[in-house]
Amino acid sequence: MGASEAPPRPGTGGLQQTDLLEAIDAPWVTIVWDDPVNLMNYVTFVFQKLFGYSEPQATKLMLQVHNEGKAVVSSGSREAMEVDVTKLHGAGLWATMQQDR
Amino acid sequence: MDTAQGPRFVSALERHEVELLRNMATSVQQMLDERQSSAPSDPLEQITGIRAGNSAPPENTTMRRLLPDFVKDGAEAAADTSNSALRSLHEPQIIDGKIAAAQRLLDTLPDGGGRLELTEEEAEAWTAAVNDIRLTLGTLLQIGPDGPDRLPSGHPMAAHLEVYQWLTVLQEYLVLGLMGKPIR
Repeated sequence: MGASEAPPRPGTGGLQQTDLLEAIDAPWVTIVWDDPVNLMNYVTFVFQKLFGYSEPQATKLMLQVHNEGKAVVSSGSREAMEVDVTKLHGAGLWATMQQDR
Repeated sequence: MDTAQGPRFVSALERHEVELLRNMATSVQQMLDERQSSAPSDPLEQITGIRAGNSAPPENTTMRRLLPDFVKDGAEAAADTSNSALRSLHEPQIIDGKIAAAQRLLDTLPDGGGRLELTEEEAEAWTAAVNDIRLTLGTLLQIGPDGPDRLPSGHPMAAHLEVYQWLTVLQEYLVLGLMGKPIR
């Protein structure tokens, strides 16, 4: 497979409007982990629904999760990542957050 | 099906399939209810309006998969981003959402079997609720990347695996319907 894409910039590609200053100061990321139960179609659908990704973008991220074991699906402030992780857990995906160092 | 007002998803369920879904969705709700009630009561809740949930992860493997950690071990940057703090803050909301999705499914099951018609919103709730049931069964069956795909008919988990596989097809159909794709 080709080189992995850079994670989405804060405030783009999704419903999260992050404070730019906050993002520069302490960028956080949300990572989705591969799970043998979750269907590929379902994961793609969740990414589209929760983050507003287009189907090709969502599929690309899903394949990254599937093939590489994980993918960064959003980035921004800590608070925004908490919201994202909470929503992903609600949908039955496993996600964690961490600082992007 | 993509009429603006009409059902988004149309199918049919047999009586025994309806009962199966009813039983499983109810079980998931009961497990989540139990978890919610086991959260320590917070004397400040009435004042702050903040409901504090469990801060420790569930001991049960199934619940642990339904309510996973927020931070990977070793990645906790500060006390207020520890797993226990995040779990306590957000778990109640996650549990509420899952219980609600299961309820939506229960409310839209065709009693005794028959035609199944779901709006887009209901179909979305179904995908989440069915996914939770699959996660529950999947944990029980120890589903991994390589299966199991098949169990001998005498195996104690054989029936569970069949149900799991049927739910997989159901969820697939629901998602394809929501994405507006043809079901081949």
